[in-house]
Amino acid sequence: MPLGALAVEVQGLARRFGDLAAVDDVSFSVPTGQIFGLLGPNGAGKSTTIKILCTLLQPSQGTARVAGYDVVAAPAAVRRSLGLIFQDPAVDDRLTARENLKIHCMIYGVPRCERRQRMDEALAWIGLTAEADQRLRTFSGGMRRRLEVARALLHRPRVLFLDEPTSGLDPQTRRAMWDRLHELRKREQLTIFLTTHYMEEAENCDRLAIIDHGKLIAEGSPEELKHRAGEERVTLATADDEKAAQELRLRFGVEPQTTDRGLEFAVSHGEEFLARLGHFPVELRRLSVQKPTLEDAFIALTGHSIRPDEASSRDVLRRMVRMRRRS
Amino acid sequence: MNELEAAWALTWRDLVRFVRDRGQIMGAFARPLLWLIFMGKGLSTSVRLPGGVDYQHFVFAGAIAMAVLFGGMFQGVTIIWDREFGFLKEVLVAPISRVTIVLGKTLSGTVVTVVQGCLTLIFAPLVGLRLGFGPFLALLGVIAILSLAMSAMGVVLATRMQTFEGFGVISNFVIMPLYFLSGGVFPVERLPGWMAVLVRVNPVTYGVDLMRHALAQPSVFSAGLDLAVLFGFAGAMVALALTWFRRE
Repeated sequence: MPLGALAVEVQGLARRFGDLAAVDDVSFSVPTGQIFGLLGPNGAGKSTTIKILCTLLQPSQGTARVAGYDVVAAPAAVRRSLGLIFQDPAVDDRLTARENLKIHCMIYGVPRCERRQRMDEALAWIGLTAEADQRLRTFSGGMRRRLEVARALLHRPRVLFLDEPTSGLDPQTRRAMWDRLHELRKREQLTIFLTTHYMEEAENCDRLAIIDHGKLIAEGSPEELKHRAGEERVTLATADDEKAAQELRLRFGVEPQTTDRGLEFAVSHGEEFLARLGHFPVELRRLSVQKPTLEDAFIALTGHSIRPDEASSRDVLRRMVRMRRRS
Repeated sequence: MNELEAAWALTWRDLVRFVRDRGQIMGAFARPLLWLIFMGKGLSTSVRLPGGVDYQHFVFAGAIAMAVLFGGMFQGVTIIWDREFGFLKEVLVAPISRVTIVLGKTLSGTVVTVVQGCLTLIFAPLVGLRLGFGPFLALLGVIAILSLAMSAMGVVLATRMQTFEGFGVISNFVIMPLYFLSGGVFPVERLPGWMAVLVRVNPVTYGVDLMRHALAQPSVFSAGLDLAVLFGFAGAMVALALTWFRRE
């Protein structure tokens, strides 16, 4: 891959299933070394997009390149350049951790002489050296997830794809996983592409694209997107609200409303505004700034909140079986 | 080179899984014992076969066929399990061809099934059958081809099935008819016309018949015809598995 090239480049991508346009004329690009998130509700087209990028599904229209290779023209080169972590666990729980890694090395053609070292390093990195020769049946969901991350990196991919990487994990495991991903990005200039419908997870991305009903709605850093959701709300509690309100109107041109918490008004950058207050003639007792969240941004951009899980009964059953196997 | 190693990786995985699955190994031991001892002994006291063959000896080829039919089909169908619980995705996204995946899976099915078929051979002395080295090798050969055919057939069915629960249906509507109409349980020479037709279109019949050649028991067809049908059956199943799995 040429230096400074785009890790992922998608242009006018579409995928139809019968009459349904799962992905509809989507374009975006991800520079090398970035953490890029595709944020949207279930059924928005996230998984379809990731499947096309990983050559598991053919696009109906448009082009997609991963690590500089076209997913339709050069699927083998694309596959060698990417690591994929699936939404559901894809390890064999009758095998040991080391055996799972070994199979990956064999099917990805990792040079034989390097296998041992890479597997040892991977196991040490995820803190599973002591458990390396235990069967995965005894592993917790978090341990399996860690193993999957290490496995996906064994063949040194340029782009790591994660489909809903931390769904079903507890908050602590989720945080630990993100620490690892940030470390990786710093150390290896790895590009990370993920899909998610968790707002907290989306906060970890350098850039986000919001997708809904197969269409790309907006793109930008989490901060930019939040900013587009609207202004920030400042609340001031003062010794004399009436005098303060007049001062605010005259000097800053804002229109405060009196609430039981004090004076409330909207500005574009709350913290900068507070810094500009300077010598305010009225005694200030409490200040607070409330910023729009990604959730607010999502609602402002799409007109609805991220819909709750609409799992079919079979999905529920499968999840239950999996939970049993995990515990 | 990488493709070969990848196919071996899939085969190796299934072998490790088989060796660790105590239930499957116990089943592989128990099934032929049940057929040879209970069924064979039980029926040999009241069934008189043409040519004076002891029923316990007659059902020996049937018991082998039973082990191979169940074993092979089960191994092939485990693809459904892999699909349902994730591992197949890891394989599908790897830089290897679909052909490699099918061959790896079929090969592992064949090896595991041959092992199960051979367990039946070990029990030959129990029913008073003495197998020389030649007949043993010949039986081994038949088991191998039939195992390949049945594993591939399992893969074929797996591409058409969404859930593992369907295995019960396969067992009742595919394995059982193939088994009962194979000439392994009863002689096929004097059957009513429609049944004789079914027996003749069943490829397993020719496998059982070939085993009878090896065991020096009365057979229906020539060994050449048996071999030709058996190879054709195995080839057709592998070809079908390769074609249908491509859409996975």
